[in-house]
Amino acid sequence: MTLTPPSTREVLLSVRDLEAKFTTDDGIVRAVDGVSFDVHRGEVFAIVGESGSGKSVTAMTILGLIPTVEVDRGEILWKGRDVLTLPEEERRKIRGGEIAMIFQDPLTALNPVHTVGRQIGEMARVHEGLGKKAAMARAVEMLDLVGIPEAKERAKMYPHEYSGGMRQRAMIAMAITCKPDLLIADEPTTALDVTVQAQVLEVLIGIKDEIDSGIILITHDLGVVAGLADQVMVMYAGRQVEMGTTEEIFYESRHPYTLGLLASLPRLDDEGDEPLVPITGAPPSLINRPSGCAFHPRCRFAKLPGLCDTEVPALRLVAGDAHRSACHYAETLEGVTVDTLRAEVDQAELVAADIDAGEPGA
Amino acid sequence: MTEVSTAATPEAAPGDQPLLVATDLVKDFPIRGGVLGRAVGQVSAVAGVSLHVQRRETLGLVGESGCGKSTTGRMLLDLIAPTSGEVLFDGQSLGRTRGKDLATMRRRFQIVFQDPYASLNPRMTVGSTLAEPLKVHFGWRDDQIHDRVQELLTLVGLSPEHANRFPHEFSGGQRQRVGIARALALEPELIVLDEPVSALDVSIQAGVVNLLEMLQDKLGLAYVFIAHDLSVVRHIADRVAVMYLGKIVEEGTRDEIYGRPGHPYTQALLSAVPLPDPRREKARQRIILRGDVPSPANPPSGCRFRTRCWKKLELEEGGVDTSACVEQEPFLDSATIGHPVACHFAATRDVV
Repeated sequence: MTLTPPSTREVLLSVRDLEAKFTTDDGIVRAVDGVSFDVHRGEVFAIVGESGSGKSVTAMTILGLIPTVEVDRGEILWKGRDVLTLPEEERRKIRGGEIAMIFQDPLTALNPVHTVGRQIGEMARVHEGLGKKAAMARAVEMLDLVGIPEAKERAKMYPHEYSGGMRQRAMIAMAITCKPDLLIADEPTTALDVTVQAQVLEVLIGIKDEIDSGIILITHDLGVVAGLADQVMVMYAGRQVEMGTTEEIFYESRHPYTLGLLASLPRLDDEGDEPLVPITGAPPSLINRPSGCAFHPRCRFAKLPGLCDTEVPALRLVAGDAHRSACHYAETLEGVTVDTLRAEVDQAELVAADIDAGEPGA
Repeated sequence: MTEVSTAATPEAAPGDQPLLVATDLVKDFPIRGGVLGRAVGQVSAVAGVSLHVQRRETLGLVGESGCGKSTTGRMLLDLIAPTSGEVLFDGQSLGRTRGKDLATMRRRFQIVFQDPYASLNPRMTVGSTLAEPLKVHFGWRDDQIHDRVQELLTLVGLSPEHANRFPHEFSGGQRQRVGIARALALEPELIVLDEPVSALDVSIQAGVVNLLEMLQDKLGLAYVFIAHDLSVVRHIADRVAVMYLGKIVEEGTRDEIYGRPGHPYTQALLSAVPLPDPRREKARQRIILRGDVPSPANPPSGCRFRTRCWKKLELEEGGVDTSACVEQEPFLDSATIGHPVACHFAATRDVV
């Protein structure tokens, strides 16, 4: 099965039907439920969703970074080998060496008691067996590459002596030290101011081209996705709801949740006083997910009672070569745009609170 | 657009008189060091800010972290005492009002904080949180308070039975609505909204933004909307002031700031905001600033933005003398582009 259009580029990562959960005092959280996707070399693959949609857990599971997450089912094929069945020793070689991660908050991700240079150099020492001196030289080279001025001096400094934007660049430097084939960036610029975000994203994309890697970009910021991504996967309540090229997702979405996200977004280039259309209701709990399509209680297109609240919709091809949607009525959404939603919305809906569906008082 | 100085004159007709006028606000925080914790220096978080807010108007105050926008917002409400400068609320000086008069005045302006979880008492039900200001300021009877609490909850889109819940029983968006209800309890005329929707997911944020707009129309409120998200500000604000390192660098109507920005910083800021539109976004020219914001403890001479200014570089490459940027501080001036901008080389540019 191919999930993306036939590409001449090498498939780096294939995730197949991944199911992962963790157990809490309140019950079992099904954080990732049947997710499948491919990432190619040279491509930016964006995973989009709101808090709690399972986007970060998906990424962390690829690297095996959350010990409490149990994988129930599925395969994570890295260059053809299923990492889930590899011995820990082998997995460790891939992690950091071939697949590297950039975290959202560099101040918690960097070790405060070691210099930045030493931490970056450690990557080369562990994965490539470099000596202390050579590792430091590599660290300086990497810092220079991500645009940190006076890299040699800065390498001797500690994380707290760096500004937020510099720390995030140091994180990128650390991630690319071993020239990984895949970078996983989890909300890499969310904590940064927009002018700094622009700098960091420019560095990230420049590096990607330079080392010819793939990127999994996890973000809630649809603007960042629009500018950088080649492929987009939208997640909701632990499931994939839509997947396609960036243009398909933004201009021809076939899922009510994606359309809802786009319609709720204030835009810098909207001069008119177009209303923002909120998605009514609140995101569901992953412990107690709604029956059928998890989005149905908030969906303006849901046909109830019916398929929507009884059957979980499968992700299926709905248009083009590989535009997929998990909506029972995806075909009826052809031609539906953000403007359609804006035209249909009524005043009460605009200010309705995110109270659970069915509750009075909205 | 009227100049701050002219708008601040007491002779203005009563109908035109701004609800709030701030003149030359300065706030220095001491830097403490050594064993004795003596002040060894100072950070001027706000270095001379003047602004005004009309009734029923939304002023957007934008800028990046550390630019002094939140400190300014708090000084407007007398939550932080300014080092110098003055705030006039409805013609009355906040700094010179004391005791009972000050308490009466405080009723008329309120604040909504960014994080509703931190700003609501976790051990009080939402009902008692909303009742408290009514008791303190109005001294109402319990039945009056009960009715008003129900009314407030309905006003912000929650249901009256939510009064018995505790903050942790609400989602982020609902909690922010409680924060708004609390601010509305005393029927204020002005609300400072400090990053009110930054912590919310977009699908929820939209409802809260719409609610704020609806309440403004219904209750005739004036807002000072402090935010780093320039897209939200374009949606909600009538006028916008852009801050950099403790100063306002540009001010104008929404259309002026977004359509004809004149300051190189405003231009860089706007160009850095990504658009959720792949074709437009990929075709856009982005102005990338170099370096980081300098420390407010030791701001650059002349223009505070000059160390990161792309325009200064561009001009120097063209052989233009930019010594004024280093030697002279630029002041807000409407002469060059029609709205106040603090740049020696102001010129408009389309960046959105």
